[in-house]
Amino acid sequence: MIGAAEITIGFVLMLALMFAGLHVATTMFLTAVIGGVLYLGMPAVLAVGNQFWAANEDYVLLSIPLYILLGEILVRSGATNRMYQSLADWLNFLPGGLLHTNIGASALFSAVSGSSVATAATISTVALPAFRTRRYDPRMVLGSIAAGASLGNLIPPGIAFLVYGAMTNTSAGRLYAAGVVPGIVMTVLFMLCIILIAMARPQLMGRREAEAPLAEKLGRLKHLLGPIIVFAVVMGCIYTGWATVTESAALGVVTVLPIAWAYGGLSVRLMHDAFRATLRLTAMSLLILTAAFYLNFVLGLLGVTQTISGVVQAVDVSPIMLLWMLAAFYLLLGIFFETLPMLVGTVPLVFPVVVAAGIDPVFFGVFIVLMCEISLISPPVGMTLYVIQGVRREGTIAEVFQGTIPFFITMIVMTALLIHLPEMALWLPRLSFD
Amino acid sequence: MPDNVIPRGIRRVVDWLVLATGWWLVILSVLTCVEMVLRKVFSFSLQGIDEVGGYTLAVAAACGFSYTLLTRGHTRIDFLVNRLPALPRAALNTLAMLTLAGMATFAVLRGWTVLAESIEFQSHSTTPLQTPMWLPQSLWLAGWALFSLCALWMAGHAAALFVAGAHDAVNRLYGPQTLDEEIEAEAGEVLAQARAEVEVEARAEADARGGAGGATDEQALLRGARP
Repeated sequence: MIGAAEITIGFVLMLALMFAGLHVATTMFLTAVIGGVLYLGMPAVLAVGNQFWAANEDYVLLSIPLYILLGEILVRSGATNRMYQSLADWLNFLPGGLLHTNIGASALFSAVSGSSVATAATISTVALPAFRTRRYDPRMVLGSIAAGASLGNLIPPGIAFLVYGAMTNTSAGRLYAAGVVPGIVMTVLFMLCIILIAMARPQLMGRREAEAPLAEKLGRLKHLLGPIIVFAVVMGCIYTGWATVTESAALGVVTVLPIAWAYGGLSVRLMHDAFRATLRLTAMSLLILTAAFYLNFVLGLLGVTQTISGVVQAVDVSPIMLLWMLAAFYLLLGIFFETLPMLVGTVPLVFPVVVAAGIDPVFFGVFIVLMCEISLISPPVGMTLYVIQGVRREGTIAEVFQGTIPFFITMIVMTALLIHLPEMALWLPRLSFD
Repeated sequence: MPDNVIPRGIRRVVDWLVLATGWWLVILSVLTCVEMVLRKVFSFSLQGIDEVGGYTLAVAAACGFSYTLLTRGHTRIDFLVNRLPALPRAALNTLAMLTLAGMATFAVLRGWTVLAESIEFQSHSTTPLQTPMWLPQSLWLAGWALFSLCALWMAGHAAALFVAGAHDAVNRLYGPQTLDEEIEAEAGEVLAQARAEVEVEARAEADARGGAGGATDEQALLRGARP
C-alpha cells in the first residue's frame, strides 16, 4: 500500500503537467505510468493494451456519442431564433423581462447540446441583437447567458453524469434522475436572482416588450416542441425503467430525425456536419477517459483507496464539513479548469475520500457536476465567458465577468442548499428506482 | 479541417472514417429501437445489440482520435502556456505533441499484443454472438494506429520546426486552439445559421415598419455585430 505523501506528490505532478499544457489525457497516462514503474514494475505498464481495450469497449459509454449526436442534429435543424422568441413569449412578464429568456433558452439549448461552447456562442448570437435595441445593461445580459449555458450538465441528458458514472460504477440512470430537481431549483434561483436585481435596480433593465396576442404565442409554441419531445421521450424511458441509458439515447437519435425533417433542416450535409461534431466531442472525452481508466487501474493496484480511507477515518471529519472543504477545493480548481479535466482529474482521488466519509455516490455525482458548472462561469478562465465576449465583439471581457457575479453568488447559495438538503438530489432516484 | 502537415490523402481518409462511423451510429440506433420494440411487444430479442454497441464505441472513439487531433480538439489547459514568451511556449507545445505521440504509439504497440493473443488463442466473446475477438479488435487497433501515425507525423514536424528555431510556427500550428478557432470548430455551422436567421428576422421587421431601402438602426447594429 502506498503512503499519503506519495499520493500527494503524484497528484501535484499530474496538476503540474496539466499546467505545463500537455494534453490532459497524456498527463494522466504519464502519472499512471510513472506510478506503475516506480511501485509496481513492468507488468502494470504492459497491461496498457488490455486496459485501453476494456475502457473503449463499453456499451454504457456508447450513450456519449449518441446523446451528442441527437443534440447536434436538433441544434442544427431547429430554428434557435424562433425557439428563443417563443420562450420570450412566456417569460417576459417577469420583472427583468427578456433576461429570463436567456436563462431559459440557454438551459434548453445546453440540455440538448453536448457543447457549452456551442450553447454560449449560439444563444449570444441570437440574443445580443435583441438586447441592443432594448437598452438593457450589457452586464446583466452577458451574465444571464453565461449562467444559463452553465446549466446544461445538471439538466439531463448531460455527458458529465455519464463520465462520472463510468468512472465510479454509479448508475447513469440514477444520476440522471438525481440531476433533475437540482437543475430545476438552480434555474428558479437564477430567475429569482434576476427578479431581485430588477426590483432593486430597475435602471439596469431595458425596455419592456409589448405582449403578443395569445393566438400568436400559441402558434409559436411549436418551435419549442422539438426539444421538449426529445427530452420527454429520452427521460421518460429512463425514469420508467423502460430502457437503459444507452437505449434511450438511441431512441432519442431515432426520434430527432423526423423532428429535424419537420423543421425543414434534415439533409445529408447536416448529418455529415453533425457526425463530425459528434466524433470530435466523443473522441475528446474518450481519450481523457481512456487514460483516466488506466490511472484508476494503477491507483487500485497501488492501494490508494485504502490509504485514503485510512486518512479520512483518522481525520474524522463530518460529511458536511468534508463537502464544504471539497467545495472550496473545486472553486479554486475551477478558476483554471474546465468541466471534463476537473471531473476526470479529481474523481480517482476524491471519490474514495467521499465514500470513506459515508457520502452517497449518487449525491456526490450531483455535487461534483454542480462544481463543474461553477467552474464554467468562474473568471478568469471560464470558457463560456470568452465565447460570449468573442461573439459580442465589443466592450470588454470585464463586463462579462461583472455580469456573472450575481449568478456566481447564486450558485454558491445553491451549493449550500445541496449540501444541507441532500434529499433534493436523492428523492427522485429513490422514487423511480427503489 | 484546418490546413496542416498531414497529407491531404490521409486527412480525407480520416474524414471518411468519421462519416462512416456517424452513419453506423444512426443504423445502430435504429436497430436498438427495433430490438426494444420486439422485446417489449413480442418478447423476442435480437441478441447482442449491446455487445455490438460496445465494439462500436471502441471503434468510433479510435477513429475519432485522429479527427480530433487534426482539428486540434484534444483538451489542454492553456491558462499558463498562453502567458509564456514564445520560446518556452514553443518548447511546451512541442513537448505536448511528443508526449501525445508517445502515448498513442505505446498504446498501439501494447494493443498489438492484445490483438495477437486474440488471434493466437482464437478468442471468442462468451456471449450468444460468440464474436471472434480479432474482428472488433483489429478495427479498434487500426483506429489507434492511424491516430499514432498522425500524432508522430505532427510531433516530428513540431520538433523539426522547434529545432530550426521557427518558434512562432510551432505555436501557431501546435499551440492550444485560439478562442475563434474553438468557436468555429464547435459551433461553426450552427452559428452561421443563427446569424442568418437573426438577419432575416431583422430585415422582415424593417420591411414591416415600411423602412425598405433605408437601413434601420437594428440592421446597422447587426451589421456592426458581425465579423
